[in-house]
Amino acid sequence: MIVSVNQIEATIAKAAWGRGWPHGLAEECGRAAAWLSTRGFDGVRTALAAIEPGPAEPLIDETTDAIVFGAAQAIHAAPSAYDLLAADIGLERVVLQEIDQPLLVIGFGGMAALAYQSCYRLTFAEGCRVIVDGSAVSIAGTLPPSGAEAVIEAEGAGEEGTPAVLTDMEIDGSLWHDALTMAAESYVASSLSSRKFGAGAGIIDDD
Amino acid sequence: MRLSRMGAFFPTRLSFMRSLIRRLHTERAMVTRSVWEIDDDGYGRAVYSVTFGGDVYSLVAFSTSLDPEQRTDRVIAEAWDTTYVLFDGRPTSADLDRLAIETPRQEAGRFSKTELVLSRANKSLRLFAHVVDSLAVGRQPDRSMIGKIGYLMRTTAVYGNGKFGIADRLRILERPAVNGPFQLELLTVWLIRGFTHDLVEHIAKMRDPKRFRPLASDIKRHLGIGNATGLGMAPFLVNHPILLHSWMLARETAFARVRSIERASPATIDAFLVCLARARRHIEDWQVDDISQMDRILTLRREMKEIAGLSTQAWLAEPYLWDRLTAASERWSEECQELLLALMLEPHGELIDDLSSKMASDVEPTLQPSMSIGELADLLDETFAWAAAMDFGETASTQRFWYISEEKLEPRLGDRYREPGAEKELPLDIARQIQTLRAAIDSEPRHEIVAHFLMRHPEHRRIARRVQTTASNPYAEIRDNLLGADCRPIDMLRCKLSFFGASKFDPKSDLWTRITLYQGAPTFEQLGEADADDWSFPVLGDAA
Repeated sequence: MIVSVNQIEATIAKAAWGRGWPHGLAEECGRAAAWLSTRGFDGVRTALAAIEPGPAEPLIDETTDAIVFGAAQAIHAAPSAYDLLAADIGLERVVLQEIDQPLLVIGFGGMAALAYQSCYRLTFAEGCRVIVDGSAVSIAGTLPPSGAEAVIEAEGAGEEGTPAVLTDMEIDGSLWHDALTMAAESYVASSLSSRKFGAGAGIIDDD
Repeated sequence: MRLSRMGAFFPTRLSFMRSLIRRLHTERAMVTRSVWEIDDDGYGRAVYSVTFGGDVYSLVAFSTSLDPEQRTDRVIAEAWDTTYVLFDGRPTSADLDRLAIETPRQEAGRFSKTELVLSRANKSLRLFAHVVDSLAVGRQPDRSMIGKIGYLMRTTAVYGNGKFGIADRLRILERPAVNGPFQLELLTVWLIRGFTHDLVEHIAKMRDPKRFRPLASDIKRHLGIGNATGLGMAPFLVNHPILLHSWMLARETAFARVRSIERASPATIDAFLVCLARARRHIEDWQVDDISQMDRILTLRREMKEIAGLSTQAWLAEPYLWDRLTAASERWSEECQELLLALMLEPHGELIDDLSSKMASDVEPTLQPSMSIGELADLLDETFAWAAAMDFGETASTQRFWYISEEKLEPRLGDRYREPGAEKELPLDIARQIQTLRAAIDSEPRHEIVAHFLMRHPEHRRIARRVQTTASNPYAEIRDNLLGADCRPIDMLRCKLSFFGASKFDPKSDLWTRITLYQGAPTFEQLGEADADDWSFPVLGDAA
């Protein structure tokens, strides 16, 4: 089925929030999923896979020239990684170990590149190298599966980036159903009382 | 910016409907009706097209029979009298056949990027039937009824920007004619209004072609389009702080420009007085059932008499008229002050209309990761002191929570202490979040950077980037407690709707209002007339 960028952003954000991710991360996860989707990647599937288990206690190890996220959940570790590199505090790299969803880290990179007008290089232990800026991504090699390790470094100033590439984004119907189901976890069940009083309006308008 | 002030706003010449009609007029836009497949009872489909900014937009309208038991203005509705899409270009017959299936399903339909706006409207049964009955026997409808109700149909939702699979706003970003706030949505509503005029005349004519008479042009012009609006608009304002700031900044800048005029020209004074007189009649016509709003209207009527009394030739001739008028208005109600603002802006199009083009903003809050915790603390203490001053200790101060119901995703308000679901509340409690953030950073070293803090405390990420972004945008935040038992969401609704250009606010509760859009605005046929912009505070005169 065809979905819009807005639908992806909103639905993924709700799904993440519904699963217990903080609002700020949930919103950015929605944008990262949309960024990936508009560039031809399966942003919805990778986002849902990252959202599904909910947030875990982060494992963070800090040294003088690097920060290491262990058992890295992309939704939490990736935004922080890009923030830290953008902060210009002399930090050379951020290491994400055992990444749950490597593709989503790239999506967050696209969003960070847009926000910070920067460009990032991701080097995976398996040899895959990725350059991401606000408008596009180049991948040399095969993107590794879950459990990979990546070193993220700033690659200098990026281009301003372009808005999402408009496409009729075809999404697998059952996958989208899963997204909507997970998003529904952020809704409140309706009751007779909330139906009657929660919106401050009557049920029938026949005048 | 406080809720009580926002809840007193009136439309101004900067309102989005006004600027849209001005540009349609300037472009000499013509509306054509290319399809009219409507049966004698008024059911079927129609297509209206307009070329605007070099692009063609088409309203595709469907009219169907509706069981009265299903007629509700709420989001929870499943069927409507009429449904619409605004199509990008001219639809083919294949498009129309597809849309005939999908459009009446609204949120449940499947749409594509050629559909820009999705909407629906229900008849005002009282007036629609009366107008049909009257025209069919060659009479004009009762003018007092037209004045009291003011529309043949009420839209109950107007969706844009990618909702339910329609085109994203990105599609029109490079189209200056329509990329301002809600321009396509309001173009759709104006076209719907024209369809309602045609529909009511068609049904009357089919009933008795020999005796039928069309609507008198002044009545037709006074028939706007109604709208029923609920809680959904309130989260929008909170969730788009920079956009809200842009709207307010344009309004305040316009007001400041006018107040700084030393010598008001006789022409602008005359135009102001004409508009004042018309507004007084408009307010006299404004009748609502809501006791609180009716009290405010009665006060406003009294105060408008005082304004008129103040406006002597000698007083008007003194320097800085508009500034003095503003100072004088401080003794009147907020409703009166805001009405005066709208009236003072009205004759100053040449001075302020350029601001209409500065009311759009696609800026998203962005984190400043290198800001130190000390700087963030200072920012919160200096710029967000209003939030720190709020007391959330009392039960009443957190009585309400905002949420999305699973029932058609209708936004609702709940009682935190009596109803389930508060754990899923929407994050509209900006002041409370600011307080929580301030407390959380209190124990952090001042030299620490925000990026580092958020790495360990991601729960503050959203509010941190918000305060960093909105700190330099003084109109971005609503400085009130949106959770309090005494919060009136309708104040937010009125603020947003006034920017649209809505009038005749008719609250049905603190959470819900009806309004009138495009009342007095040019019809399709009148768009080319010289006075296409002179329709603020419309009144329906006596029969000629």
